Amino acid sequence: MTDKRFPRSVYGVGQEPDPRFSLANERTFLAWIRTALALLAVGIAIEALALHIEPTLRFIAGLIFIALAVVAAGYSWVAWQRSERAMREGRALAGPSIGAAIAVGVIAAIALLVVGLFL
Amino acid sequence: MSEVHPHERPFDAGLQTERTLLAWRRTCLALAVGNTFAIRYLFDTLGAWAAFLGVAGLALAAAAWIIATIRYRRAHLGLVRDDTLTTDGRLVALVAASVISVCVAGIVLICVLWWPW
Repeated sequence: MTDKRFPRSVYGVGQEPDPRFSLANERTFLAWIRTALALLAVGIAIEALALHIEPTLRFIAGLIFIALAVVAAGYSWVAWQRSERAMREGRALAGPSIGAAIAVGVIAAIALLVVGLFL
Repeated sequence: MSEVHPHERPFDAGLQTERTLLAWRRTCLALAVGNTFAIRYLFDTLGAWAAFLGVAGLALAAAAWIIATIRYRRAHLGLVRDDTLTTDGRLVALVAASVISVCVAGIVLICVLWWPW
C-alpha cells in the first residue's frame, strides 16, 4: 500500500519508523522554528526600539539577524524532511550543519552592534 | 478496580505525544506574543491598516493551535489503536512557510524604519 501523505519525498520511501522518533523529529523542528522567531524578534527590536547605536550598523545587524531567521526557518523544514526520510530508510541522521553558520552570523551582528555603540 | 479506557491511557510512558503537542503550543504562544507586540507597535508607527497584519498573524497562531490539537488527538487515537503515527508534513510546511514570510515582512519593516528620508 503506497503512502500518499505529504510530502511524497518523505512518505513515499522506506517504512514507518518508531513513532517516538517521528515525534522527537517534530519537536526538533519546532525548536528550530522558535530559534528563527527569536532571531527575527531581535532583528526587529534593535531597529524598532531605536537603540542608541550608529543607524547604518544597527540596520545591517538587523538585516543579519532576520536573514539568519530565514535560514533557520528554511533549515527547520529541510532538516525535518531529511531526518524523517533517514529514519524511514534506516540511515544515520545528519548533524545540524547550519549551527556553525548561525553562530558566526550572530557573533558578527553583535560585533557590529558593539562597534556601533561607540560610534 | 475500574479499568482505564484504552484511549485515555497515554500511548508512551515517556508521554512523547503529549510533549510534542506542548511543543506546538509553546510555538503558537511565541507567535501570539510576537504578533501582539507587532499590533501595538505597528499601530503606533504606521496606523490601523498595518496593525491589521498583526491581527492576521494572531489569527494564524490561533488556527495553528487548533490544528495542532486536532492533529494530536488523531495521532494519539491512531497510536493507542494500532501503534502507527498517521500525521504528515502539512502543518510542518505551513509553519515553516509562515515564519519565512513573516521574516520577509520584517526585512521590509526595518528597511522602512531605517531609510534616511
